[in-house]
Amino acid sequence: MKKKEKLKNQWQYHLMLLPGFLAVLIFCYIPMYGLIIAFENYNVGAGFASPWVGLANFKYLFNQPTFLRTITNTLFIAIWKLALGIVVPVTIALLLNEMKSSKITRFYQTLIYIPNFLSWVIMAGVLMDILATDGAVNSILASLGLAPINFLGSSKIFPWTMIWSDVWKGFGYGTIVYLAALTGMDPALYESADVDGASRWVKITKITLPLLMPTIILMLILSLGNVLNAGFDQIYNLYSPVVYETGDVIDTYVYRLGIQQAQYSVGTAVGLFKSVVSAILIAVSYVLADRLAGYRIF
Amino acid sequence: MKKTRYTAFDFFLVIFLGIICITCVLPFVHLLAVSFSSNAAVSAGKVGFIPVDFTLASYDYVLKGGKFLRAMGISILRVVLGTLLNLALMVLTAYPLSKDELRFRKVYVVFFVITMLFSGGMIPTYLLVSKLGLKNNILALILPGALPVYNMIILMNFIRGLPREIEEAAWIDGATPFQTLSMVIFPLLGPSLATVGLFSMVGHWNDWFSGLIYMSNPDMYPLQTYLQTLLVNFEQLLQSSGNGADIMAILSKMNARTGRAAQLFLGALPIMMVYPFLQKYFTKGLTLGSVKG
Amino acid sequence: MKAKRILAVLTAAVMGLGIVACGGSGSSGASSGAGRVEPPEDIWAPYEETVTVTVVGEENSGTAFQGDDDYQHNPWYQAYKDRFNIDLQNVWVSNDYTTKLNLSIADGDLPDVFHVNSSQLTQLHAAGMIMNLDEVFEKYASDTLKGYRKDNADTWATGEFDGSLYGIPQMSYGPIDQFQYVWIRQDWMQECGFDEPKTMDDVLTIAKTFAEKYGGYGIAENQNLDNLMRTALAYGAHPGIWVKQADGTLGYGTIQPEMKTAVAEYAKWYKDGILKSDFVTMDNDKMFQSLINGECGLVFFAQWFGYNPVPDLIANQGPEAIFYPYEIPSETGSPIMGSVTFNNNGYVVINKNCVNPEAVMKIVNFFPYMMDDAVEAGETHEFICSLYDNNYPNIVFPTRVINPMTDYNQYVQVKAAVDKWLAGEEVDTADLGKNVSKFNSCVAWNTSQDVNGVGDWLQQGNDRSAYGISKKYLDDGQYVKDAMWGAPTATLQASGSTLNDILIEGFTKIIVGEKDIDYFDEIVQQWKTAGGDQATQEINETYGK
Repeated sequence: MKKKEKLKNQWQYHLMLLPGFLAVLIFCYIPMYGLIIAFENYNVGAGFASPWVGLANFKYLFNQPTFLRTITNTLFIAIWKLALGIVVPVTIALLLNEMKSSKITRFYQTLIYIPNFLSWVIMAGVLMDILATDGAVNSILASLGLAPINFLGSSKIFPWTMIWSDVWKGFGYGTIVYLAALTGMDPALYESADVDGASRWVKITKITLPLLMPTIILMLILSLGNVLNAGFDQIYNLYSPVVYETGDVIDTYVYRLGIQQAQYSVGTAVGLFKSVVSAILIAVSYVLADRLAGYRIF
Repeated sequence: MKKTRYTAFDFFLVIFLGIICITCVLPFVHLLAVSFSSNAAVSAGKVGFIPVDFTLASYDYVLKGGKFLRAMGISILRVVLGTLLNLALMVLTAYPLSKDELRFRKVYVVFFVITMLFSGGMIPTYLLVSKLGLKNNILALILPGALPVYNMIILMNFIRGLPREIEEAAWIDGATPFQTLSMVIFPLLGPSLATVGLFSMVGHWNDWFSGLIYMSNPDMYPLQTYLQTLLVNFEQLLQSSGNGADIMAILSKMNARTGRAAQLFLGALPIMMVYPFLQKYFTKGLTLGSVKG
Repeated sequence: MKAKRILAVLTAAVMGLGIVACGGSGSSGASSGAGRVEPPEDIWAPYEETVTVTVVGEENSGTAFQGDDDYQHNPWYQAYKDRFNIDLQNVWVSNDYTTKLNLSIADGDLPDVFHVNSSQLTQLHAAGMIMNLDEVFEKYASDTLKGYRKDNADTWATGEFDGSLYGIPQMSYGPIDQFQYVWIRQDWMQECGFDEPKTMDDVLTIAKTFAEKYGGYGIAENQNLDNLMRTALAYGAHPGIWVKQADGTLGYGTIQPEMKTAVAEYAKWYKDGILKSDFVTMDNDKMFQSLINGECGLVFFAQWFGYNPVPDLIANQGPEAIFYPYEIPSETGSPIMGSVTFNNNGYVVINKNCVNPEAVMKIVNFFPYMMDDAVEAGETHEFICSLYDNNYPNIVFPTRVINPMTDYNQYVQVKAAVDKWLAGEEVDTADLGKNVSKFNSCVAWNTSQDVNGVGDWLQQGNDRSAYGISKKYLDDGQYVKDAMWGAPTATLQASGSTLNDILIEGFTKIIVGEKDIDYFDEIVQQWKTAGGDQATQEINETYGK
């Protein structure tokens, strides 16, 4: 530990901070003031001075079956995405790590990372094309003699379409993180295992996986704040009223209510509710990250 | 080392992972094939991964009238301006915050981190942007996210990891903090700046929602917003294409599916082109951002 | 802690800033720049100096712009300039109109005149952001427009608050478009020697015979059960509208006992193979495709069937394969009742801050004038066509008020002209005004089998046409009006399509045999608890008197 010395020219550092400080003050803090419309019956004529209604908007919300439905839908989709978003990349990373040819590994890595960079607008267009009832995937199913699947139009299947397409788009990212962690491991451990004649399976389960555990826990904790983020960009661009029952999530609900149906106060109330819950989850997860994984983000 | 021995399991691995990799690419290959095929071939379900009855009609249609190119121009302008602004603010903010001795450092950090937990939400933010007179202005797409806090913190952690001695030498030579930052620290930030800069670039390029909200005039839509409105409306767009001889010639060779495929492919192309470059730094950046203790 | 206190001060400061920043300048898009201009006495006369009026618009892809025309530069806007010296300026034109307008409402950035839906009308009235139109309407509305108000008082009442007019109802082309028919393929019908079906049994006989003889299936349907809702009329049900029940209260048509009969029948048809076994996977386009492929020759459908898919069908199967519309028969052969819904495209409202509302009224007057009075007033044929061809009336959607008798009158006129032409007499097309294109396409179909004309022919030119049947329904009062004659109530607006989706999903299960018909009552119960009861109560409170 270094001793704390006096910084010279303190004011210059503060001057450097000023632009960022102002940007955040104006574009993040001032809108927070607007959250008071969640407690008002927002009237466009009166603006922020609209009549105060206290918690009425929240009461209204929690009596709406359509709102309660969005919470369960959000949790269902988000939690599955989190779980599979860890299991799939870890598995793929372990398998890639077993590959003997590093050239092929690198080539594969390049391929699986592609979908990650494309926007959900593009991906939605691609998915709508290939998952249509007469699209490529269903043609393949038909040629295998299987019944067609209504991936985007059936409320039973829609959430799974969202979950798997999100995993498909994102697993390249996780895979590379885990692979980076794996390559940093001490080869000596494996060499001694080889001496003992351990099988691949034993090496994976007894050495690799335990070594990977801290990274897995860290990634899990860091994504905990996303439990209420089921993916607005993705779902908004792919859903339709037919699948609202299982596919409508908090963010899409806020958008429809707040902007498409002009219920500004209720829309803001949902947003605030989500912000509070997410903030608690993020705070908890950062404490957990510190305690369990020894990772401090700031 | 000894010669590598391949077992059946190794072959299985190569093939199994190969199949998974192919699923990441094939949809795009299919889309590309559709975009270069004629409407008749596509409707008949004949197009797999190779264009059938090759035609450029869909691309002619998409690029005609200049709407697509104008939207792309707006996107490019936004990426350039937005990324430069992001980088400038991130460096200027991260550097002072990397100094433990900075007065009020904790207050600043709390101030910035709170914005990661709470936001005013869509409607109040929209009202603010509107009151500032930024609607239909490219600044509305850039200023609200001028300082990406999370990336700034990644950068801050990186600066903290630099050896302190370099800076101290500069101070002894009488350099001010601004001089130290620009002459000494900045040149050392290369890979990390590339990483967060690329995060910004991809973020700006891929964002469609702020365009939808802040641009009331659809002529000002950036590319992703423009594409988003077309995903649902392409069939109708085709119907209103007029009936000139040249357009009829194009329309006879394409339909909504091939046209949409061409749009999507063109929309994805710029990212695909810089992809190899991106991938290199993203990989570095990831290890930098999340695995660093 | 010190940091905490500083944070508190900071937050307070920010809050203060927020008030200043957000309470400040309430910019308005209304009448940018231009000031008040005194209107001329004569409502048809031009202003002495140019008046600018701002408007926002919705993109309509049906509009086929010619040459360099666009939403800002087109014959309509030119006519406003030439006739009234009014410069109508689009602030924006979007294909996401409702969202954009709601955002504009939220920040009060509204144009002089714009189109709203019923909930926006209520909201803007409550916020005091739109103008009371009583005075300007009285002084500056044309007689034609005032006539619309008189003839459609119940519709116009939905645009009034406490007896004052705030929103001018834009109405629609009329109830003649709302009826349903059974469309039957003609070459097959002749080959099998069938006549017009008089009962549902006749319809089923035709359907079964077609399926056996031509190796397809009997009756076309899609996954949304759109056609079930049409077929149900045969069993006395009125799905989709609110009807008076036996006990005098209002109830939803789709959950009535008659509907249960219709669903039970449908399930039987599915079992008998009259419906396609995989219709649940077919959207409307797919269904059309199977008709085009010649898999089926009978479908319950709306009046626009001749525009899509008939042209493609003829291209594929030849002109003899044309479908004709027939009245949907009942089980017993007695005539059925059609359904007519409240059909209003929205409202034209004027910004409270608009300085020249008279100019807006002049613009609003112009569409009804062109629609109803232009031929009589001696407008040239070229001028009328320049405004009406290529779906150009879509351009002025935000300020367009339609005579709900338009399509009815058009049918009468076009049919008379076609009959005259078929009889070999001379037809003066100038008399037809905007309807000339309909006449021309009927002629084109008859002389050269031009498929672009077949839609108009089946809709109104033929002796057996959709409008011909509709006219009979209307003239004989053979229809049930939706009891919800106005805006949907709060619950219906909030629930969107979710309530209907419950029913559709449940009906589908019954039809494909996953559940038996008793499940109908279970679905109705689900519908009620999901908000249906609430909606029914609201409907009875609002419309039950």
